[in-house]
Amino acid sequence: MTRARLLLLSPTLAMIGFFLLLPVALMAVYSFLSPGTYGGVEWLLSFDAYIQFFFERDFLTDELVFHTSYLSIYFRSFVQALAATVICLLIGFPTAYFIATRPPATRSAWVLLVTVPYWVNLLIRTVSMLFVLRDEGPLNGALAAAGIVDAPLRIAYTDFAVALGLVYSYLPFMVLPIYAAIERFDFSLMEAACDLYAGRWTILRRIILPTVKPGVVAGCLLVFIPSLGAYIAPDLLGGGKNLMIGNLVALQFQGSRNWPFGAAAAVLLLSAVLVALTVLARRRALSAAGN
Amino acid sequence: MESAQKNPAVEIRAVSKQFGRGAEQVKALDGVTLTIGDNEFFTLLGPSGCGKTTLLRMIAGFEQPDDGGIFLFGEDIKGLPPHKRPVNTVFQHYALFPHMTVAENVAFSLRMLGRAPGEIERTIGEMLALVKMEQFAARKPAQLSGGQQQRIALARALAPRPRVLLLDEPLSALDLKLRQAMRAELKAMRQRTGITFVFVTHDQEEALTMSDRIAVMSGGRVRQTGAPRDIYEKPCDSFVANFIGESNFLTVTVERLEQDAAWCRLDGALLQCSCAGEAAAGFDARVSIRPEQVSFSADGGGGPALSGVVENLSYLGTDTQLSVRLGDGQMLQARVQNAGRERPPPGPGQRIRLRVNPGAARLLAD
Ligand SMILES: Nc1ncnc2c1ncn2[C@@H]1O[C@H](COP(=O)(O)OP(=O)(O)OP(=O)(O)O)[C@@H](O)[C@H]1O
Ligand SMILES: [Mg+2]
Repeated sequence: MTRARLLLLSPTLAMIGFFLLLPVALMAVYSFLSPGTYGGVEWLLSFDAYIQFFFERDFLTDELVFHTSYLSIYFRSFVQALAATVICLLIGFPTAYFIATRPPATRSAWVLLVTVPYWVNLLIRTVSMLFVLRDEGPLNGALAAAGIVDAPLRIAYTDFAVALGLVYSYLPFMVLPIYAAIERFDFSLMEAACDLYAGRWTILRRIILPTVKPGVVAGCLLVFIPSLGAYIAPDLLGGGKNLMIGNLVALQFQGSRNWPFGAAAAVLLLSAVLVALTVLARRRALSAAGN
Repeated sequence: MESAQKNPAVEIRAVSKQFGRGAEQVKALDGVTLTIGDNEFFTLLGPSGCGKTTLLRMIAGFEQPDDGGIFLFGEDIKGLPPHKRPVNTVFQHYALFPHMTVAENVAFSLRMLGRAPGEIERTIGEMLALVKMEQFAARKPAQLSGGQQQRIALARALAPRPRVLLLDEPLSALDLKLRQAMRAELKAMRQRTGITFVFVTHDQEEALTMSDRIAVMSGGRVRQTGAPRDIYEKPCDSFVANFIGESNFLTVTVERLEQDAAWCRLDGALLQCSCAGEAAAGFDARVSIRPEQVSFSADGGGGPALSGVVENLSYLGTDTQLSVRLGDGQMLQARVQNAGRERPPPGPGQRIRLRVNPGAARLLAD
């Protein structure tokens, strides 16, 4: 590498090093230390955090017993994130398609509209969503006034509310990459398919989806990964009852003051995501090479 | 006898189409009427924006006429969506499916039509053999050259054996040599498959060399329909004469009308002209004379002769083009072959005598 190139790259490298790699490395190191009494860590090597994650120490026999309470939190997070991703895809794809097929002059206005919720802080947006969904909120009020329900629907503080919150938070991350992919799509391919006797659904399935797949994959990742570690939506809308990974980690750093355990929970999440992404990338490289 | 009763492949009756509203309104087609026979190589020729693509897309079903009717083998196909018409298109930029291999592209329509796997395999083989691309079956379109992509687009459109094949400037993206080679191939392909071809181009040479018949369009109207020879030698108006090949446009006075000839006076000489439309004796009119129909002789032998002064001389390889100013001030371009001529052509400033081949001058309708 030449000097000039190194010089040009140095701000980026410093940024990644200090603000991305260093904190993650610190987290990984902390997960192998002992908890301090009032938070923080003692510099004593310990695997307790990881053992605690998978095993329980039996009171009487002092034996380690495998338990799934933390794993079930991971599982629930996974299901919640998956649900949010699927809902985002179902809403986001038609939205992106709609925007991409507008005349060029009005497209950017539509894109701007998609990002409007982002001008308000996520916390405030989530709190106001809670107000909408509450038993006494306008949604239930409207349902009652319309005579659809007698008693208020219990929406707030449920998994459904959490899913709604996640969808609301991350929908634009689904819309934008898919929009970018569809905008680049050559619509004469659609005409060609139609000319070659394909109906609407076949065109969507066999022509449009395969060509815009990279955008769809990007959108799904951009929704799924932050949803998996989400903190605000499950905390506020789930009422803190059904923990997700983000809440579990946050608890260790605040209430429980068990930093190594919080760090271990975060590292496990990170590893899971990395493994999943690697597998995905490998498979894609394989299928690309296969063609 | 039978062919006389058969329905034409495509019949277009008084079709009109407008795009846009208000000030931006464009009349893309304006009362177009055409009959395209079965097994014909029919070309729509015209300058950019004259409505060729619009007409082709209407036959394919991508556009609906505002007015008029379109018939396919006698059947009104108005309102039928593209995937219900036995017509396929070779798109200008091919529109090959980038995520499918060549074989999958060719097989696409057959799968859509629910053909048996064995038949699909066989047709892929036949089609790729037809366009000489057998060894590329497993490639993706991005791994092919422009000419190869063009062949695949052709194979793909021919695979379902359409009754009419529509081609929208399929050669325009190719370089000259390849374009010339593909002309002959396309023509041969039409004969081998027996499918009616409707071909769109703005290249007059392409149209002349390939077509059985040509419709010359401009401004959303059909100016003239006919065999290449008729279009070239008997243009009906100055647009057609000017668009196809080169021509001289001269003002003459009509002297005498016969059954299908007119005698017109040009700068003192009497020319025998063919008539494109109504003509009236005693009035001025315009004639078109192809430069190669004018011959010259330094001394001038036999027949009615024009005389003029050579103003300019351009050497064109096979020919030499002379610009001659006639006695009445009008300019006449004459083109003479260089081969087999013993004397050198006259130089600028020299007075020469010219003759127009009898009947070669065309009295125009406008
Ligand atoms: N979808 C459309 N919306 C508005 N105007 C259109 C549309 N399609 C075509 N036109 C207009 O209709 C006219 C005819 O267009 P068309 O594409 O048929 O021309 P063409 O003969 O194929 O030209 P070219 O040789 O440049 O392809 C043009 O003036 C064009 O601007
Ligand atoms: Mg066109």
